[in-house]
Amino acid sequence: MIEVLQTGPLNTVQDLGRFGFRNAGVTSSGAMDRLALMVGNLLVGNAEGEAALEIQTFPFRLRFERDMAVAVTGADCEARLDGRRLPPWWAMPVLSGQVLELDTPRRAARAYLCLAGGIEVEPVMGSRSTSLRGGFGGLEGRFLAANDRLPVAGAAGPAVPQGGFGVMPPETALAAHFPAPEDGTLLVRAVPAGEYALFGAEAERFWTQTWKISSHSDRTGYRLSGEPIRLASPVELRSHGVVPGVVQMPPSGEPIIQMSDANTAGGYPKMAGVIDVDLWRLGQARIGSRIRFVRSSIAEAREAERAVRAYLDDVRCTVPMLAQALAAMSRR
Amino acid sequence: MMKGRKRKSGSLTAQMLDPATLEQIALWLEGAGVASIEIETEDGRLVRIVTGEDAALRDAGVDPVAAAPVEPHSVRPAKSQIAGHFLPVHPARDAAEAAIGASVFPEQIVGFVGIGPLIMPIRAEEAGTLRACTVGPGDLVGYGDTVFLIEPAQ
Repeated sequence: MIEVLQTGPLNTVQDLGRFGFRNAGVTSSGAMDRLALMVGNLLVGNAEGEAALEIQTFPFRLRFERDMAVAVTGADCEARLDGRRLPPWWAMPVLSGQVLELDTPRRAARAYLCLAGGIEVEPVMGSRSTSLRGGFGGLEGRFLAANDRLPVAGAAGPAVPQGGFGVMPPETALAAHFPAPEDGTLLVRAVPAGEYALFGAEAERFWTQTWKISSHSDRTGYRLSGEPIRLASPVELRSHGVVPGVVQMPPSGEPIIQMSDANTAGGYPKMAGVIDVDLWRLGQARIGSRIRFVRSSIAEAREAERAVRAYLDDVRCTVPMLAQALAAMSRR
Repeated sequence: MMKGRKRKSGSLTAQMLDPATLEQIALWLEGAGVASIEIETEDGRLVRIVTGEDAALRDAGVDPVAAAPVEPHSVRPAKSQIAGHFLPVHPARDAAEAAIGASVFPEQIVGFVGIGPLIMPIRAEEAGTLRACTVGPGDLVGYGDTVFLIEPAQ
């Protein structure tokens, strides 16, 4: 068990999401930074998709009620274990009674706390992710509150090295495969979507201007602010399916990017689709920060996906090798 | 590499002490810029192969970089627990965990070693003042190599 001592609102249990029920209006949910969740799980010997805590409001404090292994990935929250600072992207064994604290990150938005064995809340429709709108999944379908206690399954993987260890953050390890920010502006790759042509010459400004992530942004979607892009003449569209990454253009002319808790259907014209492999970077973008869309291609998206897969495979193979090497040396 | 070339006769240790094999290993080590290698065999015996003058110096207890203007007995080393590339600053952070001249406490992380996609900590063994870093960013360090010098607290 782990016990939440202090938390802000909107911190939830998440895994990789709930798929196969969009036709019934069930949002996929799942971690906003799926890569951080997967890496954290691999560090503690879990399968990539075990349920973890997604922390996006701070400060957050939690007590471990038994010895276990944990990893903190994603945003650097100056994590402290019993007051001692931990590096970011770090895994270590913890003892029963120890307290982990996370503070507001200076960069990035969300941290993930993965536990060896995974958080053992009851799966709903094949996932442990919290659906806040549906009020199911995760812990009683709601966000965490102080005094909540969460069950943690028994660990199956090899022991995490005693002194702790870390992983090269994806931003470093995969730097060659993602466009670097320009003057603090995050570059997000996207491909034109269904109604792109309706915007005619105006569509060009979608790519050239810098958009700000407005305060009306959450796990459902990011509303962007900037110089509006409007249709020459309004169109009426039938409602159609929507998935995370879809960029809609409401009549206001300021785009909405659908995120993890994306609506399952919508009727706004679709300007573009953010490539799936770039969604984790958006998931770490903060309210008030700036982004720009970069026109991409399916080939480029596939190439980036292969690089991410190779990085994850490398982490999965190297973690047990490191544990074995350290164990062999400590036997001397 | 050795496994693929394993011969039918003789123990692994005997095979490695064969002059032709030793020469081949030495060539590989030099090519990879590695000064020495320790190989543990099935029967638990260790074979240590050392190449070059640098390694010979170190064997004699003379660490060429550690010859800093500090009394050898007044400082304690913070060592790498594993072979890899030295990272003075965590790749996701702007500053080192402890600056030169700062006080450190026992078990405090003072630097890192990168091994492929993973990162291992380098820790201070006891309380004191971080006096010097003896290797450069990105340098290859071996198991047990001194990376920092710490002046113990009085």
